[in-house]
Amino acid sequence: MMSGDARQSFLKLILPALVIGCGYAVFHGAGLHKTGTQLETDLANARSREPSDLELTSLSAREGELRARLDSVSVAIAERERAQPATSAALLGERRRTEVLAALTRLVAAGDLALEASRPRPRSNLGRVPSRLLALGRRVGAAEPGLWEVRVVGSYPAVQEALARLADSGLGCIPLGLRMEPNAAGLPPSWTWLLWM
Amino acid sequence: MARPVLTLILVRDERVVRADFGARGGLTLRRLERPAEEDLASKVEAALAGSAPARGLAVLASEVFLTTCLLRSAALTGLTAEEARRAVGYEVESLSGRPTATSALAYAELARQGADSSFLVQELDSFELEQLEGVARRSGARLLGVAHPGALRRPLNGDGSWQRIELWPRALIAVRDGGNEPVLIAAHDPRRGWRELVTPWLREGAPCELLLGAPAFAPDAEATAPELRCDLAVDADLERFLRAWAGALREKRAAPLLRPPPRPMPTSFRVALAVLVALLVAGACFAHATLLGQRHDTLRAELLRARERTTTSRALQRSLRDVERELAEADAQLSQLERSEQRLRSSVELARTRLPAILEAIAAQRPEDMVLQSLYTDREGMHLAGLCLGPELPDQLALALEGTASAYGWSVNQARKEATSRNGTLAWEFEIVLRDVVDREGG
Repeated sequence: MMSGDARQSFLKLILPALVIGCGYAVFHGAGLHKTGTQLETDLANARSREPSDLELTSLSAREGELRARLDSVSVAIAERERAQPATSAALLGERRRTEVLAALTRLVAAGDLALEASRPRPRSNLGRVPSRLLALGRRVGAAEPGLWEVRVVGSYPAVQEALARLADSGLGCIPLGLRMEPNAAGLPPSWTWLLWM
Repeated sequence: MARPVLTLILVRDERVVRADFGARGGLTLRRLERPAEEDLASKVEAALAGSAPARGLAVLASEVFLTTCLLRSAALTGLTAEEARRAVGYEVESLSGRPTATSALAYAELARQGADSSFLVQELDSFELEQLEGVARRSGARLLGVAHPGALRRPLNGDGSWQRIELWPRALIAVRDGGNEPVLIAAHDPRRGWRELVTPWLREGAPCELLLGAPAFAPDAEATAPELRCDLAVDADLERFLRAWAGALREKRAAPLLRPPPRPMPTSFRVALAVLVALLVAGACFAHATLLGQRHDTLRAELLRARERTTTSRALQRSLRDVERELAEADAQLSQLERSEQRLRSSVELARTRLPAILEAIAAQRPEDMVLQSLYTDREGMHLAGLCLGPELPDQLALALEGTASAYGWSVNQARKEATSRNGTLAWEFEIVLRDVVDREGG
């Protein structure tokens, strides 16, 4: 058992240390402890929401895969859009008007038909240009639809055959309308074709 | 030469013996006969000269006042050690003639006798004790204690029940086994017999040792068997006696021992010690703060990493949703382009082939009794007109054309017909309209 003097002496000896220790505990240690506890709580919460490496890898791989597909589709779209004029032109076939008319004249002559007239016809009541053809024309650079009228004389089968060959010819002219008018007895009828080129 | 483990110095008036105990039980004795010094400290200092003593030094001196006293047991209850020491000191002050205030005193309780307790007390001037401590310190030893050489409470010969009569200069001591047995102390005069004095105290039948630390009354001494006698003038007996004391000191059963009072710590040392302790505590606080700081840094880094991973995951999920939406839009756009191209292709193909196809169908389906007189197209569609010999023939033609007309963007209206006479023959004029539905139906 420590005597009173010894106790006092001992207390004096450790008083500075006590002051330092208590001061540290109260003014710094408690704050450190609180900070540590808060950090541990935050870390536990963050870890409960933290994705695993596998999840991150999977997400990243999926994103990469989708981006690759998106790039591929975007390239395909761009290529198609870039190729639209060429595709449209290919759909329409030969569009140089001189070439088309020359080919048309040859086709009429070869079909046992007599050509009576071939001329532009800005307006006609024989038919109208479908909207899709108008759009196609704009895509290939046609400022406005070009209507052309061709008048021939010939039999019904000859006209039918000529129009069928025109459809297969790949020429950039499309028949929109026609009219058959009878001629004097013994003569084949007259035909008027309305062409879009 | 190896340093001894214990040094005992026995002082009996003018006789001084130094005993050094080795680690393996060896004992070296050195006698200093009739030293010139008169005070106890000088005698001890003379004994320590020459060779280094052991770290632990004990002094057995007949100059130490030894006595017993009887005190009320309750008198010491509740007192501090210092207060109890003073109380015992006052009790023996009249016997020793030494003032309590200037004396070093040690006591041990022997036995309780009713409400009283018997105490064995040793006393020496504080000054002498301090001198002895100084001598010990100067010779590199620590003073374990100072005691009167008598009243050692253990046998000198073997074990078992024992009792002993000790003759010391100016004192006769009778002691027997049992740690708390009473000790009889009386004045000793070698010219007079003493056996009668202790006879009532002695236990019958038990052997009684006789320790001769001073000249004895010969008739009484000779009454003791030689094997039970221990004469300190004889080296073998002296060695036996000192070994018994060394054993008691080793086993810490040599109470009471006069020990030097604890030296008050110098102020400078106290301040230095306080500063050192404070520094140690401050260091511990700093280390604690550093460790916690490092732990916090680690936790913060882990927290940051976990949050970054969570943020990365959320960003990836958002990006994934965006890419999925963009991909869906792009797929839809591509499909739209493909459908648009397909429709254009179909539209161009339809436009190219519809007129030859319908002309072929008309030619193929036209009944024999029908003449087609007029055929033209306008914004409404295609008009067929002519003559036939039966009213059902235009309907037949209209029905027959329905398939082809529908496939190429027309719908067939019902045929109009009207009877007429041509060259006395009944004929029918008819008109069939194929209504154009290409743009109207979005085809």
